[in-house]
Amino acid sequence: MIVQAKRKLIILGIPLIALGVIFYLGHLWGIKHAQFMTGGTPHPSNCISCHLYLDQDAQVARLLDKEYLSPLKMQVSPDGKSLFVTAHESNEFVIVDLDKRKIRSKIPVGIWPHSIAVSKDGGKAYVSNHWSGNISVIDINSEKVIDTLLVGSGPSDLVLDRKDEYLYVSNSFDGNLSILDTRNGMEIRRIPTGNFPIGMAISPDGNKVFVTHRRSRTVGFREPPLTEVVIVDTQYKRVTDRKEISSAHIFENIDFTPTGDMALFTLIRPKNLVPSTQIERGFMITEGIGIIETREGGKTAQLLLDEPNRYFADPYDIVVSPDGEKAFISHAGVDYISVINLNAVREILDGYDQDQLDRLANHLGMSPRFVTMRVKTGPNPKGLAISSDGLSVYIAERYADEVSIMDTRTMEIAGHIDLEGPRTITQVRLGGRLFYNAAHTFQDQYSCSTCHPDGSEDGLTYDLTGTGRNLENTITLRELSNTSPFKWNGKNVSVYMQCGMRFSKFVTRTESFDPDDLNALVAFIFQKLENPPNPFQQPAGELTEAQARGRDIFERTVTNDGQAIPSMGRCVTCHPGPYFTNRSAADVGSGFETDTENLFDTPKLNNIVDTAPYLHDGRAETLEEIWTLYGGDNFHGYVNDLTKQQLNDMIEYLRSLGPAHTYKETEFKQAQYD
Amino acid sequence: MQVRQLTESSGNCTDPAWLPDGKIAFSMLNEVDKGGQVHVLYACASDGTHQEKLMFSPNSVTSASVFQDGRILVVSEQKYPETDKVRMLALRIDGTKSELFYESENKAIPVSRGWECMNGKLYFIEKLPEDMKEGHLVSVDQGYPLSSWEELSGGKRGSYHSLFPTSTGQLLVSYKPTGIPNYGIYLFDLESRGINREIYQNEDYHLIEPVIVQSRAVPMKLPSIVDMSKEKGTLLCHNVEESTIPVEGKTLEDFKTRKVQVLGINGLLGEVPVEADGSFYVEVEADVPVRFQTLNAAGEILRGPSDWVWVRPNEKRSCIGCHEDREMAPENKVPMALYNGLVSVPEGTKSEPVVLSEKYRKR
Repeated sequence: MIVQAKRKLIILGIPLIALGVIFYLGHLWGIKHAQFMTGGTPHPSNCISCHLYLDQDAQVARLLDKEYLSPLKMQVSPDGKSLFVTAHESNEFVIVDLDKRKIRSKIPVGIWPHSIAVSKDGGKAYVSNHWSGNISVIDINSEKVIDTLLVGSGPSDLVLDRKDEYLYVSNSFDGNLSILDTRNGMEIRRIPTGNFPIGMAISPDGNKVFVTHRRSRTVGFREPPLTEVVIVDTQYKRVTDRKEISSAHIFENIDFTPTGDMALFTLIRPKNLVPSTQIERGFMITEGIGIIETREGGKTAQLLLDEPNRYFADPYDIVVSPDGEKAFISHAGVDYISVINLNAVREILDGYDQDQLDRLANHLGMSPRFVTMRVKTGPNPKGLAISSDGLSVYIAERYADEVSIMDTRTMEIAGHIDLEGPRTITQVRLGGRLFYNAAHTFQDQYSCSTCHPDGSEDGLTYDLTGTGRNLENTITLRELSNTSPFKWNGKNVSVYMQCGMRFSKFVTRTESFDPDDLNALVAFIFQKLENPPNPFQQPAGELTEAQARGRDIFERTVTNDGQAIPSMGRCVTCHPGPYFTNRSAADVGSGFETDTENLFDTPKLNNIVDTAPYLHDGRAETLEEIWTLYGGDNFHGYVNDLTKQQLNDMIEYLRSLGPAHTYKETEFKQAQYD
Repeated sequence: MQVRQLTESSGNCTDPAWLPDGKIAFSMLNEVDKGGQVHVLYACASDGTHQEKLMFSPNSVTSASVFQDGRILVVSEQKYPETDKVRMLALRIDGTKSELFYESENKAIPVSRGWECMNGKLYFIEKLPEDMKEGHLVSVDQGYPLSSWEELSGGKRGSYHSLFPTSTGQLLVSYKPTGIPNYGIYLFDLESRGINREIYQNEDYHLIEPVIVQSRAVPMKLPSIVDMSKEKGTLLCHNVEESTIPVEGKTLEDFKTRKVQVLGINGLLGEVPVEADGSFYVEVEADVPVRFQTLNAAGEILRGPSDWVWVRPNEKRSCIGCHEDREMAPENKVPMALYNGLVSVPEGTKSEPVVLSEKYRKR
């Protein structure tokens, strides 16, 4: 009996011991793996917390996530009884009954509804579908979409002229403005404006439409950004003036005073040329407003909303009170509304000449002179709307799925409108809150989205080492899944490492993310930051003749005169689809005097048309310049035998490369190595 | 309760403050080169070990407190070469990025720790030039302390010694009404700006430095870039001409800065050329105080000497100008000196310039 019991114990015990050993060794390996992948950032060795969210197509992660509304922009109906809201994550147009403070209806529209224009009689609303490239026309009475109007790519803001005859639409991805005849819905004109037109406002007399831009126009390498406010004459429907605003970008929204004496817009003043030795004293990013005096010979000014020791990241929307005395600005990165005394702004403009005003654009001590109050809001305040009597300001709290109501007499939040989103905050949703919040940067100076608006990139090159060496062109964070390693030199094997301790030491310069927050942030980046549709990609994925010729160049194995191209000289070797990266470092002759190394991570090419300038330090203004100025002697692929037409074709192909999910791996020729 | 001595030194150790990384900052009375007996800011582990000096100027540094943003706030008085203004400085907990936080426009002297409150204000006690005997309760806005000074105890008779904020938006103050011999503990109401009530008085003792025993939010734990294996740090000045101090001269050469002298405690350490855009870039020995003065082509001093500054090992420090407006952010441009060679002082050597190629510069 005893012998048999011993045998049973041994038979049962050995596998248990073996399992224990395997588990223990696995645990040890897991710890080392986590340390390696995070670069030593303290992190629990919990497989699920990371791996559940690393694949953008992970079905389990999608099941765990929920569909939030994420209110973006708003308009009050002319009768003051309704509030119209775009919900950009649920792709809906929401009508809120303001008396009951309840949702009246949710109307499905296109992808990523952005802005709203409402007819003067309140009967129609136009909604721009940012990722669908069209406008939904909604009949307010029947609460139905009655028409869909085609415009350019990436429609953002909308304005109607005084008679509601023409609708102006800023096409952000195309860089132009569509003008539609509202009587028949036809586009009558498309006007080039600049790099990523975004906000619009029509002057009170109806004669001008001011168009702001998110991105700087092309400037010299290591020169400050220069971003435009373009003025369109509504009678002749053409551009009549361009206001160049120096050292600033991301002019998300604009509004006029009721008398039209000033147009005011939100802006960011990046310090991308300044060696980033510190954050203190506004050494990385400052935030403010731009002001254009509309009278003949009027001044242009930039006033910072920040203070020397306190920053108000990501100013987004601006609305002016009906009496013209106040303006309200949402700060999406710090959850505040700044209340502006416009008479104080006028005094500042009157008190200084243009040269002095230009100098004051860097002065962090100005805001106490014109900011009268800071009002705390819920997470990520975006769009603002003001009632016609000026007594209520509505605030779209994107990451609360709420609209809060500020009483302008007390300047206090007097109520909330629940947009009835999910009550649970998922891991991905929490990550979104972190991504768009500046609390993880010293003195709240900037959030992840400040340099990566909508998850993309700001088109600027920063000196993050603080030594003038190893300059870094901001990289898009869209579709990061399956494209590790990260950082231009490819030294960060995971986003955990990228956003971990070193990130806090050199970029945010404050306490690093705790493991839970880091998990959530990575989950958000991998699950939510997708590339928008590429207007140069044909709807069914077919190629134009030029694009097809370009693909042949991209995949060619012999030169024009029949010589074999070594495998490492073929584009497709390092840039295989569907992400167009082999995830390895390569020396393509792009190391420059300021670089301390010549090996750079091969970038993915999805939606590369959106992310100029190019190369690791952003010195190539266009795709063409990669080869015409910086390709060297066939260093960056064999291209020197290409004719101009062939190079053009190849660039046409590159411009057509769209989101990875639009491709199948089988569509691409696999690299053949020598 | 058990009392345990953490530090041992010949000079007094005062003004301890918990740091977010669990260490304790404190001031130790030390003999420093040329400065004489001054209070020096140190940090140590919570058991008193691992003492580390954080500030290196010949200034007397006291009254440390810690902001929620993770920086240390101190009161600093220059002692060499002459006794100068008393200022409040803010610095990171590794001793880097020491910056002016507050300086009185009218020569008032901060005499207590500064405490920040939930309302965004910083409160402290100051002696005003018209009344250097009594301590006055004052505040500045933490966001813009250089231009938001306000006296809260105006018209009240008596003297304030120190304070501590309560969680209800009031202040515990150490206060001595006129005619009363000792400081006692009172509640100061910020709304009515007056003493609300007496908390405790003692006939035999001054009651000072009140502290409420309660849990508080731990300030941000700032990362450190100090590398003790390095012996030097760098300082990049963007434009020496950026200054609130006017310079007189008849010709451009008279008032244009051509070089900068780096001065140590014992005199000149070296000279650094100034680029056409007014920038200079210098590497100096870490943890050693230096000052700067600007010279024109004739070698005449234009501005300076500056305040004492230092760099920690591996610190990269920048300044916008020379006695510039302290509320100014830098202009967004690349200082020319960044690529024209880093000058090492006192060696006098210069690193190879980075010559940007034509295709780089053409833009």
